[in-house]
Amino acid sequence: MYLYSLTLQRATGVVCATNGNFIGGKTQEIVVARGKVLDLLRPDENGKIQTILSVEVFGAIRSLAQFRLTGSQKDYIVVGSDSGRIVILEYNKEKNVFDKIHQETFGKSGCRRIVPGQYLAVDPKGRAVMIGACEKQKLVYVLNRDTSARLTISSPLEAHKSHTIVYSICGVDCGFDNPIFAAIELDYSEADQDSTGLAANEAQKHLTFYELDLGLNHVSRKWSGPIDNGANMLVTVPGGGDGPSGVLVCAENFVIYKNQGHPDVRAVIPRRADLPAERGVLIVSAATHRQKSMFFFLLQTEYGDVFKVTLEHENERVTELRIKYFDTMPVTTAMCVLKTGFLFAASEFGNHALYQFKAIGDDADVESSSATLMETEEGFQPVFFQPRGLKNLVRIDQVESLMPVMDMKVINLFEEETPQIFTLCGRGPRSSLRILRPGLAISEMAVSQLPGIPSAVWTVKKNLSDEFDAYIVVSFANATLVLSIGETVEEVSDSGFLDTTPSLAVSLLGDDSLMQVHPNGIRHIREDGRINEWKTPGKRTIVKVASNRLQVVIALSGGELIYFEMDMTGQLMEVEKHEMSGDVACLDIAPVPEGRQRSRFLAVGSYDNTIRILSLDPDDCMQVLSVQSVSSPPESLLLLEVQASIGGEDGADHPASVFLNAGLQNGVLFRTVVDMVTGQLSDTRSRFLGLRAPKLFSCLVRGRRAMLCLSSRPWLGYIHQGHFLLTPLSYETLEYAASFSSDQCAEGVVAVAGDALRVFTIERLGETFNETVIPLRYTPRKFVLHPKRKLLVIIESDQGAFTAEEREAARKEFLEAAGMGENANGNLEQMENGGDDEDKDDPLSDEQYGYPKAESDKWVSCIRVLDPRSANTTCLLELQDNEAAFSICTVNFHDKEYGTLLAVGTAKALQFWPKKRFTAGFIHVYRFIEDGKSLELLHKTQVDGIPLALCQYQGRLLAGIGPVLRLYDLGKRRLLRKCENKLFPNTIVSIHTYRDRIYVGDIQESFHYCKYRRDENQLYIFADDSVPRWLTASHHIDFDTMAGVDKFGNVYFVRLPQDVSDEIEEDPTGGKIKWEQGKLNGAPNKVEAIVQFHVGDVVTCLQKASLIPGGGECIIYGTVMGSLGALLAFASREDVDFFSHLEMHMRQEHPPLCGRDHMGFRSAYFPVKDVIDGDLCEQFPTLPADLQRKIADELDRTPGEILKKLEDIRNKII
Amino acid sequence: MSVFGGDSWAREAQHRKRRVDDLMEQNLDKEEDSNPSYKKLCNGKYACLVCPHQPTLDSSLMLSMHSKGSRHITALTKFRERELRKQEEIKKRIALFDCNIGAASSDTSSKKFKLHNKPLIEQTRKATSEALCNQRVKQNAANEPCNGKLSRGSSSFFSPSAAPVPKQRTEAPMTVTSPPSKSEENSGCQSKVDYRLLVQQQLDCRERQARELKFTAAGWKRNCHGRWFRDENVEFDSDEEDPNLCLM
Repeated sequence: MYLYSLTLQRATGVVCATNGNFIGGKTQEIVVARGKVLDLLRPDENGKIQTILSVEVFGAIRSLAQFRLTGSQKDYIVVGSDSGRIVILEYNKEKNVFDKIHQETFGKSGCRRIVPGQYLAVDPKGRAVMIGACEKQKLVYVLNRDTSARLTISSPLEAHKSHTIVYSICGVDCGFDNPIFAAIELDYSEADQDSTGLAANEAQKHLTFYELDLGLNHVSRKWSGPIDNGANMLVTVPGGGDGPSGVLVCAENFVIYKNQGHPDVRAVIPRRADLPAERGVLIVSAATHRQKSMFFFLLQTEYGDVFKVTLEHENERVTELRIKYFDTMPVTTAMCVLKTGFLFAASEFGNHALYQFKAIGDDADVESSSATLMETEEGFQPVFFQPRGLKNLVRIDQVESLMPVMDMKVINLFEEETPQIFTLCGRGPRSSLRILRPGLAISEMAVSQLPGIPSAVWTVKKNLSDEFDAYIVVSFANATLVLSIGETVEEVSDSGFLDTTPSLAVSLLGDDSLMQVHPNGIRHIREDGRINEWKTPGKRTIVKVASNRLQVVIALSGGELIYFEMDMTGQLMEVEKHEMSGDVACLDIAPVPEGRQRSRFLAVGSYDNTIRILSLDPDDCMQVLSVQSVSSPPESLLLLEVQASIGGEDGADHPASVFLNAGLQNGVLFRTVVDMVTGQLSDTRSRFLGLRAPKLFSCLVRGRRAMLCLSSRPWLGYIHQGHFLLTPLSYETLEYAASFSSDQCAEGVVAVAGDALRVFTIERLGETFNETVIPLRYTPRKFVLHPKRKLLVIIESDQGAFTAEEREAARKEFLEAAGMGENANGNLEQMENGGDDEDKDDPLSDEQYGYPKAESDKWVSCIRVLDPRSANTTCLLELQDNEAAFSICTVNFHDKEYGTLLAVGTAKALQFWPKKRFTAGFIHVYRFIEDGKSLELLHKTQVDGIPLALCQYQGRLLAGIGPVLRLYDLGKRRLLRKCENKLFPNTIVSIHTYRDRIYVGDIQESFHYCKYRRDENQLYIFADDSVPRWLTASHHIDFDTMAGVDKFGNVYFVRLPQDVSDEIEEDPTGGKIKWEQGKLNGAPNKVEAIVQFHVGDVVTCLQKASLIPGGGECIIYGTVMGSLGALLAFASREDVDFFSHLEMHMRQEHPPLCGRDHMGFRSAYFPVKDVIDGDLCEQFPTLPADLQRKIADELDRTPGEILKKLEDIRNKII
Repeated sequence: MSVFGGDSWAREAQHRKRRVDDLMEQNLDKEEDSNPSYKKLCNGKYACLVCPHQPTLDSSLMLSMHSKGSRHITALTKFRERELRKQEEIKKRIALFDCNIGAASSDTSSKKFKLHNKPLIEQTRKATSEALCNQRVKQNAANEPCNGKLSRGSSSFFSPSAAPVPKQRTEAPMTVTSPPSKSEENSGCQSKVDYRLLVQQQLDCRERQARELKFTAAGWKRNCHGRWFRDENVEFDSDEEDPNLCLM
């Protein structure tokens, strides 16, 4: 089995981010690392975050920093990754790529303890960069310029210290003195030697300054001083004339200003009033804002509260450190303050946000200061505050993030054309169920009813130079309706259009005249109101029209083509006639190219399954240039010109070319390249779009021509970052469409469907999925589908939170204290976090502020029955007594009267630290009542472990309880233990069944294949895996094969060899399985790994599904970083050969950006086996043209064929 | 082959010897292709299967000598005669069975097809089932306790674990009370009834097996006397059926 791996949705979470001036000029951009993807983002003028570039780097990015050489206008990016190399990147605006400026190797690849890459710090003046490991090693590179002003990098200078753990590093701003780097270090050499643990308790963190002596080219430890043992982060304080220099040390509960030879200035971080005493306050992210005259820091705590930190200083002496409550927003991994007044908050989990500053916290608010710090006998006096609504910030945009995907199912619950992906995402109060549908999201601007059923719609400008459209013309079966676009859209009768006949086409002709084509003639409306009519000869009617600004071709019934051209005076002149052999099915002319008089080609589709290209050149007018036969009569044609470009912001190089698109009656879209000179057709591609013949329309997307295809659902074909993408729109079936531009929406579409006129815009281009969000209460764990009623049952549980009742009580109390009692809506239903609903006057939405924190051994949990159609929760059971749900399944017990029951595995008072323990485990059995909408507890069975896996098996319930696999039957008052096997190594986390086999996944030791023997009432393990794998997700593939993922991000398939499988199935006496000897301390038979691939991200869910109608099934996975991917099995050996060769060439010609070897990355833990990396192959179009040609030559193909192959295989998946 | 040292002559000799052996064997095989009169043992020696005392011979050469001997030849002729007799007997019985069934079995072709292959077994089965029926009628009249034992013993004809089911017992007297095979012409009817009984019995057996399986799956075990008892590691509902009662 060979698989093709393709990422469907790139990671949406953020690991680290930094902002700077990467393009050059005045704009500010943000570079974001999403695990193995590096993105360049920019807020546009409307305050929407736009992705300018997104590159997969095939390595784990661990740190990012930005620096600027003095006097330069542009910032560089330094990347610390698992490649054992430091990489410096520069954004290339012309080609829209990151250019690798330097790549210096310093160590082994992989995330290791002593190989640098984890921490990065740059000198604020851009003279040096320090890259550090978690332990021991730190390297300093000197950055400089050569004579031609190119960036140079020195060989590394070592600043190692063995037996030290590093917590954080940063550059110290000391102007143009020797660069200094600060680090929080812990020396463990004594603790390591002392077995009593005494030294470990006394270990002390130090703040160490490393000085790079630029003259001696040497790094030395300059100064080291003990600091608070809770210190976790360093923030550079501006210096060198702008400030006092030194660092801010963020420690548990404190922020401390430190500098060499300066006394500590310490202030306490204000605490939330409802925080339990045992919890400390830690700073998790920081941002610095600098202006010429002032600077301040924004520090965010682990609870989401943002504080503004200011320093009072006289020259180099800091007199006071103030910490003032600023605002509260969801916890971030990185904050970026842009000079344009935006704050980009990269959330730890859930959607990222872009905020705008309304104020900079100058108003009075809760504040703690070093001057008022009180030390009492119990320690320092804390300062308390209550979080409030946003005062200084206002959220203006959100970037959706699926991180983390906890569980996923692909089902077609809504009976749409393609299945929906149901994902459980997020954590705590920001968790949600997201329904993903392949396709672009649209936002509907207007829907209006029309008096009849319209057949077509056009928009038309009055003048070529107009920015916006003037009329919407709607054609009915026997009339035409003209609507004028202004402030409102209203019917007009003075437009000059004939309204008593249906229309065939309406367009702008020349610079300022309008044309209406109706079955009996052409009506030409001149700018001054004169009307010229051309009537059809005899009783013939016009059936099809094609026109551009200067040319019109009509097809009369019977198959005659008449070609008109606009002459110098603005008159429409008949130029040529041509008799076709039969009726014309469709026609199209390309728009007039810039600087030309006419378009060269006319495309004519006939009912004899052919498409002809006719010349419109005066020399050989109406000569057939080429003929293409197709599988079915064409319904609609569109000549789409791809404008020549040499990269730029939204695309890579592509030469000008004309594509002929044809929608065939069998629902296939047929695309072929038209030679610009000869009109020959070549390089054909076809794709099935839907059950209806696609109708093709041209529209504008980001200023470029794109194609709208209306089949049983609408599709958009457009160019995004150099790729031609054909993506469905998440919208209903449309009849006819036209592009629409008004002052409310610049690039919209107007369409007719049924008896309604719809105006909409297309959003978030380039994305594969659009999502519908349903908020949940706690971190979702798992969900199941009620098979008959199509309801979802979700279990959610959270550690360290209060139950809904307690929270409600606390909230009431607070609101009453704040005098807002009348606003409080006291019912529990309102406890749901509000999703997008920012505007509601909820003073304390949990989504924004997080749940009040409880002790860490307190759990809250609930079971929810959700109707995904209406997004309504029909039943929500909160578990009582500190119980938390961890596993769920539906089960039908044999010959019992209840029908489908729900089993939920829970643990009571679970604690992970200092040692994992719990009071009890339970299996709850619920009955569905009220048509499955509600649950009723049947009984609850105490078990001796935590049931982490449940599954139905032969009318009974299989439960994995710790290391025991147990079979339960339903009893009157409890579940009855019928059979068990205690031979599993650690903890059972997954159970799958198929026929009489049971596939058990152990948390640490991969899969175990079992069999249940009824005649002996015994469970036997007959096969297991010889490789220990920490299983995170699993899926049953076939009788002998299982797919699994380990926690290091490796997807693998294991298969029981055929002969072993046969032997086990054909064991008539049954003695063999019982008496066989185990091997390697395990089962007698071993499964074989047949597929192995390193994804590079923790996969949490696997599922086999087909995302397109009639497509092959593939394995879909979701990851912690919020990405979705697919593994598709190759159908032919040829494809395997082709793609493995392409992958090989890509590896050689286009090594990954951050310096990790591609093969090494995909084989990070186990050698990659039989999987081809589609993400690497899909980088082929981004290569320079000559390189593309070189690779294509080696593969004996043309670059076009390779692109077609890539497109084909992507179309097989989605 | 290290025993022969480094020189090659001994090894070659060994090969030669083996080659001779092979040829001899082929020769022997050719003589009696269908059923060989000897068996090659795992230690490389040969055992003669024809002679009554089954002598073991060291090499194929000795085997060929033995097979030329007068004792062996006498034994061989006797053996052949016996085989021939056996074949005749089988043919006779098949013919007998065919005419016996052939008269009656016109209605159920499937039965004919089924029973055609194993005439003897079927005949025996028929006989035993008849015998059993009679026996059971008698037992019915007799007291209960011994019933279990006896029926278990008899059931071994059909399947290892099946014991007669109550239902069957109610039926058995019926066949007896219905006029038994009075005359030759009635034999067809008789065999039909027998057959139905047989099928019924098999069905019941299967049903009973399924029920027993259900009890084992539910955690019941059997002791050496066939009594059911509860597995101590398994939990039971308070009102669970007791196979000792409901399978009696």
